[in-house]
Amino acid sequence: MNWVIALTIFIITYAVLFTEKMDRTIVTLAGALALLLAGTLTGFYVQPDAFAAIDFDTITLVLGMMIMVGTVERTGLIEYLAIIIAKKSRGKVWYLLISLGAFTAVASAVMDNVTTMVLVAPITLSITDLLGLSPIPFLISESMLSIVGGMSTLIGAPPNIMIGSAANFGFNQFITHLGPIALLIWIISVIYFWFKFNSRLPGESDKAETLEEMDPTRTIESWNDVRKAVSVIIIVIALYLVHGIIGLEPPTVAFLGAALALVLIQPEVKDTLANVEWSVLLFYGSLFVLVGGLEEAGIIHLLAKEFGVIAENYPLLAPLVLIWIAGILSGIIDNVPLTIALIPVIQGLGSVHGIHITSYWWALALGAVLGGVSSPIGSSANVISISLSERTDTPITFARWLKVGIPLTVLNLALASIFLFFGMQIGYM
Amino acid sequence: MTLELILSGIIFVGTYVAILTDAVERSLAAVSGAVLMVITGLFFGFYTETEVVTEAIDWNTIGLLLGMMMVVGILKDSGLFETLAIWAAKLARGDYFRMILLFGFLASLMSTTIDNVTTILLVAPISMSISAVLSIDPKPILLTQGLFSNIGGVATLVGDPPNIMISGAAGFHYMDYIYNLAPSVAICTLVTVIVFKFIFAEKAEEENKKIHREALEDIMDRKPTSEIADWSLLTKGLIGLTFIIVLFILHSVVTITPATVALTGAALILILTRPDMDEILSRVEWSTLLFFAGLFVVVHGVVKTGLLTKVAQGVLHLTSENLLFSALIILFLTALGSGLVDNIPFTAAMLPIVSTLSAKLTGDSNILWWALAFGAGFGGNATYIGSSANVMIVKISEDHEEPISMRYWLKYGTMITLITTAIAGAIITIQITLPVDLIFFPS
Repeated sequence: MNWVIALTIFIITYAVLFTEKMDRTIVTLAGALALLLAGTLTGFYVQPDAFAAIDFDTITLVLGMMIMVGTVERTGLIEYLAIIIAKKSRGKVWYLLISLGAFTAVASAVMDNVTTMVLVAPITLSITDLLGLSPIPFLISESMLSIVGGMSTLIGAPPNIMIGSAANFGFNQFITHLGPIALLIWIISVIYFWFKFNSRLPGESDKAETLEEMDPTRTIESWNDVRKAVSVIIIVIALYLVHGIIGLEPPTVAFLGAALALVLIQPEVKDTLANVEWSVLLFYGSLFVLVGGLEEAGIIHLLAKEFGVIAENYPLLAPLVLIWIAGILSGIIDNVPLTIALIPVIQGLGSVHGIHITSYWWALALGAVLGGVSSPIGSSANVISISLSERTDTPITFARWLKVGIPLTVLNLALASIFLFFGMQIGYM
Repeated sequence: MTLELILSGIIFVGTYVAILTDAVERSLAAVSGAVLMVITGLFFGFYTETEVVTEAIDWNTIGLLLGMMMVVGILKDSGLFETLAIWAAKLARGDYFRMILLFGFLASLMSTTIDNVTTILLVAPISMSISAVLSIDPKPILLTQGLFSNIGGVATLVGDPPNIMISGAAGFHYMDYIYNLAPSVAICTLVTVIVFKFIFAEKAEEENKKIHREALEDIMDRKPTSEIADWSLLTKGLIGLTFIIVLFILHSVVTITPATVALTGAALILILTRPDMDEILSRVEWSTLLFFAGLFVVVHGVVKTGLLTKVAQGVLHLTSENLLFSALIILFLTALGSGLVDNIPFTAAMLPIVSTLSAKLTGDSNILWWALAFGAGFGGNATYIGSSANVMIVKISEDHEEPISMRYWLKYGTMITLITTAIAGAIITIQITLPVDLIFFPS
């Protein structure tokens, strides 16, 4: 009975959400609280469960980064970098798209992709504005490539971190097992973007000439502030890179950066906070509460149990099925709760049924991460891109995202399945 | 004393000094203190990062505040607050002291059923706009609201966050609070009124002369309902607000937590009115929410190193197992602590201590819990960071050219805290020493 209520509220919320008739934050907030209220009255989902369901690591990480980047933005540094990059590109649009995409992918491999997107998206918006281009292809490709890049390392994507600790996989194992397929998918994705966006993007920007005359230093008010901003960013990135060694989690690093930036640059705290995309945080928090309700109602557990039956009967096929299940689901719900729910299932397959589970771990990583590409809410990087695009004249709609994301995800999951299949055949995965 | 104890104490004191002196923005001070505390805690092993979100931060408080701030943000456009302002001004007939009392009683009454911060969020903007229209000083009016809402909140289970926490620890019900606390709260409120009559007599005279006569006449001619800008928004908003208040009152029966109530109400109004979400969210006082979160993280640090418990235990050691002494010590210690620290984190630190004591002492040891409730509620008035409502008052007063300063608050708040705490102490003493059952603590 509980799961009927939960699923009904969930489906209604998503249906309204994807029509985009109503503000997405209002829809998800209302859906989340409807589910929480129903859960409280029937007893299967109460407030402490809801708060426990929220992935505060992600929320606080995004908040800390947004405060930091917001402060840095005020120094004019972001615009300065944008003018320099735009000048370097000499108006060649594809050169720009590919290099920004490559940078995002590599940066996401060593940092969280949320962090990467919070840093890269404002620069991108600034560049496309200077060149008079639509930011849509840029933001979409960057988010999708940041997801692919993040897949290649242990620390690049949240599911990988969880799988790494559950399966006892180290940094090298992720690079050697998922690195090649991530590279392949990256190349395929860029080719795919060429076909998707080429007709819409001009080969060269007609603003390239006026750009030549622009003086990047004019955007900077105080070089002193810029130096402070740059040192804060360097400290934060350095701490990200070594955070595993010194034992600081990313949210703490992000908040350290935020506090440092505020203390050193001393903007109006009120103004800085007003520029934070609070609706993104509220939207994301609400999504977690919604999915948490599904979990508490036992739906994800039910799915997991069904999968256990498949795995027992079709051991060769099951990892491939897992890629697609995880891939499709992580477009619908965030991959963090999905991975949390599936890890014990895989562990159960190993301990109860005696199945060799290594290939299941890789399947889960591939599916959960790659599936995030498909929908605008599949990954926090996507949500940030969509929200930031709303500052421009041409916001990314859900429909637009799905049109690009779904075919690419099908392609990616197919490639991943083939890769995993052969990997299993030769006993590598 | 170990090093971690001292370090956590230094960070704690440093953060509070930064907040009290207004040296930096409050939220920045709290967040910086929190980051320092977590990093130090990680180094010494008394703090883990998961603890920050799972234990340190009281999400119920944050969620409740967020929900109510959104509700008030949506209702702002309806003209409801202006309407109430006109109505209040007409009722006060332009007399300054009457205005102080009117808003004070309104706040006091509202905070018995709605939480203090929400009360302030609803009432304070009204008094701000009426003061602006009449060109009078809003500070005493705002201050009285803050003080009265804290005193009034002590009377009921839902009135004050510390009361909610106490009911969780001691298992008291809604009516227990009414029986045991409400009579004393009524006495304290009346005494405060009398004291204010004297203190603000001169100020009232002065302000009465300053009142913009034409504006006043204009107000007396106006119909309150003419201020309503959007009837549809108002109706929908009031539906949501009624929903919230009903759930608040019912919440002990159906056990829906306050944050869920407030956020559900906010979601309901949002769905009904469909405003521009970015606009509504820009009205939420995010810096206040960050301030709370930061403060929770800092205080949790001194709880974890054992500093707070050590200090409290040391003082309680003096009481040597005497019920009256223990009750009075709890009362005054909590009042003192709640003035310095937010009363919510301080109450959290006191709960286990009171729990142990009430099990150990003979006699009607429930009175220890009531002493804690009085201390947390009344003590919170001493400084403006003593209670969440006071923080909101100061925050709202910043829209005025002369915001309420810490010095201003201390001048009046400390006195009221002393008076009300002394009254509570006297009542507790009479109850314990006299063998007869008074109306105050029937248990």
